[in-house]
Amino acid sequence: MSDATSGAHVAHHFDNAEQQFSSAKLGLWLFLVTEVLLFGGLFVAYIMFRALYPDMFAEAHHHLNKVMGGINTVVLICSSLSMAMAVHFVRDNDRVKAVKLLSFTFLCGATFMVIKFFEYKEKFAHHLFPNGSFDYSAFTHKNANLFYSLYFIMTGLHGLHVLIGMGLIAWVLIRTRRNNFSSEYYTPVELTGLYWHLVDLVWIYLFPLMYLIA
Amino acid sequence: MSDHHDAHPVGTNFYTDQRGLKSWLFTLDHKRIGMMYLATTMLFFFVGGLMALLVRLELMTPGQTIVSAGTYNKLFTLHGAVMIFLFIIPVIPAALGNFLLPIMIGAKDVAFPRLNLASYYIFIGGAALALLSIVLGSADTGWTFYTPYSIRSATSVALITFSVFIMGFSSILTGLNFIVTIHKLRAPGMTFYKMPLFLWAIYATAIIQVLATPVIGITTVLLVIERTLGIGFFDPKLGGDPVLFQHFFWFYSHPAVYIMILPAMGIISEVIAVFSRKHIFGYKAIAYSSLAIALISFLVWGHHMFVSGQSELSSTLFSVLTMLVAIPTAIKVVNWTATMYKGSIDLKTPMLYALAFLFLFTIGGLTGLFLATLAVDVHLHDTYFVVAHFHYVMMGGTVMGLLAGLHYWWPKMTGRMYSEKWGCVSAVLIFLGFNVTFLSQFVLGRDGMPRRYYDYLPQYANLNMVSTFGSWMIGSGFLIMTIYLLGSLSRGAKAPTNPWGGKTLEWMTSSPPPTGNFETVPHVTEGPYEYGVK
Amino acid sequence: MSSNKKHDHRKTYWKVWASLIVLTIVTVWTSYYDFGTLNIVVAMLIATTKATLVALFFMHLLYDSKVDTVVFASSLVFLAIFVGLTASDMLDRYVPQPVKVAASGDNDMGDVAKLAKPSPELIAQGKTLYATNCASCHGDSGMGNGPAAAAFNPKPRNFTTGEWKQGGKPTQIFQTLTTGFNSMPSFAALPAEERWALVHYIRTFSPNRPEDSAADITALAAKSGSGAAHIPVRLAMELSAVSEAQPTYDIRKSAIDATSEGGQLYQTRCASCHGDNGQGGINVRVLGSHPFSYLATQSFAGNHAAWTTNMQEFVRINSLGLPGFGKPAINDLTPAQWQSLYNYVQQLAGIR
Repeated sequence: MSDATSGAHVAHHFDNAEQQFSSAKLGLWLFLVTEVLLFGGLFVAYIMFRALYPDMFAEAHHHLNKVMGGINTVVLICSSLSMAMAVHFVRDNDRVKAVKLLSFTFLCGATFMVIKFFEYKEKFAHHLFPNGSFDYSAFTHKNANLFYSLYFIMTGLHGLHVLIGMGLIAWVLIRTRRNNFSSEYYTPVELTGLYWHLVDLVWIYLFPLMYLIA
Repeated sequence: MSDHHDAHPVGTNFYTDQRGLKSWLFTLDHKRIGMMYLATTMLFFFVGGLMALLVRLELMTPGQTIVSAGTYNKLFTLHGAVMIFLFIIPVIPAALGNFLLPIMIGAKDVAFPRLNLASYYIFIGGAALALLSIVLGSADTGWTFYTPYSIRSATSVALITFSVFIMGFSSILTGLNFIVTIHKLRAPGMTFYKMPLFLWAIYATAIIQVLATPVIGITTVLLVIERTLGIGFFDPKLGGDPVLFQHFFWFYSHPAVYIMILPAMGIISEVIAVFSRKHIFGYKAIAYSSLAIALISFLVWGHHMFVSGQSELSSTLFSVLTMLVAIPTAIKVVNWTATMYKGSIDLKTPMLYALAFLFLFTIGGLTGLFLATLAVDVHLHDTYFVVAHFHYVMMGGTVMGLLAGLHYWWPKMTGRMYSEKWGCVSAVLIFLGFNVTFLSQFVLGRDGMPRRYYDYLPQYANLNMVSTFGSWMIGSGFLIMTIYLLGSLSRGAKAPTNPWGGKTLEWMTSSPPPTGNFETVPHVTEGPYEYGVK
Repeated sequence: MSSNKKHDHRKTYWKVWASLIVLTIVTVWTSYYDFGTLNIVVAMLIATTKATLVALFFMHLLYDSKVDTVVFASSLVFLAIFVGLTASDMLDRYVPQPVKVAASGDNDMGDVAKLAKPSPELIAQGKTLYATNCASCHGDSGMGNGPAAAAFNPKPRNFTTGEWKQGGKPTQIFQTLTTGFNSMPSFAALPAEERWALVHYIRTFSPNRPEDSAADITALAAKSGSGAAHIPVRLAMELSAVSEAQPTYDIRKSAIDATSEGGQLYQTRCASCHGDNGQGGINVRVLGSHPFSYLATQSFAGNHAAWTTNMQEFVRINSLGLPGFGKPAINDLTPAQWQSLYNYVQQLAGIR
């Protein structure tokens, strides 16, 4: 059973903090399942169209910037490390280090979005955006618009998740500074961490599928 | 969240514990949220039912009867969309499930009460958007929103698909909440195999909700983007494929059919055991068949697409896989029948509905096999045979199950007894009216009358007249039900703790239950259907 | 409170991070080499290794309750189902099928050399088949006066007389039976041998029809493919399909006075089907046909039928119309108007 300090965080319908923590975690894993299937739909579309138009994909992806994509991959991997470390220090009651690491994670997310912004800007400038004004002249294969539709929707949805993740990190960062968490209660940090790792996980697949086709 | 959990005085219940509109709007109590869901979904059932009556009235005679062709297209689209997304998907899990699940496992609440309330308001938000789309000209695509028409249609398709996206979130959160609750909050002694079968069904449903609903989310988003930006996924002109949309849509929407029927099957397991005064026959078989149905439901979506131009390989695969659904379903039906065998059957209103379920669902299920057969489906596809089939499953199955559950748990939920006499009258009227309405549609479909058409050939006129007449019988049955159920709230006799002699935990607490569900945490020592013991 | 709190995973985290960075470099590096179809396999193997590392260590699945692992793994299983069954349609449907182009080239014609010669058995068989398949239009005695003949203009072929437009040689009749001709439907649904039997029976109505040369038989036999017999529905669709609109071309437009009386008449009465300049090629729905079938009009320049160059015949045919060809009757013109219309059409045809 829970001790006095953790008791303050246990809702009336839970027996103890352990039960509450594992419930929250199971709930979050179930949520991550829905995330996987949400992105999954897009991956299905990607797989079908890539199998149908392999040459078009190979040609169209050359307009993406491998270097920027690679840097973003490294940025997200580093942020995942710092997030995992931050959870460790929150659990270790080391508030100062945890705050530093959470800030670093937040900055990584911001860096990712800035790089993404410049990539998008370049595509817009070249009319590689899926609406009426898509510029087919740069491609020998027709249907190149499909690749960019996939690119914008998949990376766009991922970017949205990065932004949401940054919001969550900012929230737990503030609460950590206020000393809301301890080794007895750190559920929000743990859950934010899991969410952030999933965002990284999706990018791990997006990077080779979009930037490294041939 | 825990501001009132142990403040309630002895003898009060969750209605009287706190009063005022605010106490309802911000409640975290699963019973209150369940009741709010019940009221909301029943309201939509009424709206959808009204549309059904109008559709049937229009089809009473060939040519124009009451509305124009365009209005008719909108009416049947809305009937489908409202009934499916606003009524039948949420009603049993979110209303009855919310109310009963924590009580039946001996918990004080669901695992995430705030998420539960959020899910309700998300649902209301989605429903509001759907209603807004009706005001703004309503969609005319049918509830399936098939491309390419849904991309081109000038009606408010984007709004209603977006409302489906929103309501999907509500469904996901409910399912997620239930899975965690069942895993983590069972009372001492309540093992998985001591859980009532209703909970196994809800558990299987929740799995589908979590796994399938995200896909309808991304599908509706893609459809909205396709309409606004022209991304081309579903547009052959841009290299896409309209049939891909059908894969996306049915990957959710076929399992969703089991989101609708599985909880009803759970109710039937409860009601038949209680009113036969017998231990349920084949407890584990029924429990596992629920999970098997949940799994197989993901493997069969292509049977909606036999005439869409999908590949022969795919059609053959899906045809064979669809047949598999019959196995766990038949296991259930056989076990329910075996439970009644030599039981002391008490023909109370819930049992009448349960028997109606058995009868109608068996017809619905078996005609499903006709449709699963590739060659037969090519003839029957998009005819009234399909309409009759899914109404036998959805209304003859799910709605009958819901009505059985509603009457069974009404005393527990409201603390009042309804009129048994009028209950029987309306049950018989609905059962007969249902068969008059939809049995005739099987024949119409066999004769080739296409579904969704505004007009029909003269040779179909007689049976359409019969079908419309049947719809009035159903309507009057529901009218009687509305009157006696609402009347029971003020004039009904006070319900005892256990009016039917049930053995599950909800009958161990008072009617209606107190805010924390139980005065003391129950310790479970025996299974839910131990009628032989005492 | 949770069991993993006692463990310090910091060192593991650093190792995982280093592996992820290395794997990222490897996957970028391999993308510069072409392994053909293995490209995607290599890239996905590396990505999956990275994802597994993240899930097991950063997300603690290795140390966590097994339920969480099962839950997460289930999402991948169901995603695989989604991909697999969708692919069973999308990728199987799009395998390019060899398109059969020729209308009659892939037709099974039986053993041409043998069947092209009449035999008493074939003729007897043909007689039975004729009664069920042909007599309703062509009449029991082949006079072109069957009960259904009344509806036709032009009338069904009278087998006892006249010049047979589609040819009277056995191979020619066989072709006509197979592909059909205007109101004459295709009988490709009948097995080749039965069609040959009909050929020989029909020829008994007027015994003086020309015989096949050896070359004719060889030519037909050469067309006989080993492929499956025609699907009659497909053949019908090919024959009645709306063909691509032909490019319009101008036949001496400048030299022709479209403002003349004939020109005016032509524009109002004829041009919708025959084109502004008689170029033809316009798809016209055959009157009363169901399902709709279409005929493309001929260019005037390419039509050498006798009535087109004889004023009297021209008026007669146009007054009666040719319903079998979708040509309606025009019966409200004065002789002077007919004359000017005829003159104008002759100008459009350009030759005569």
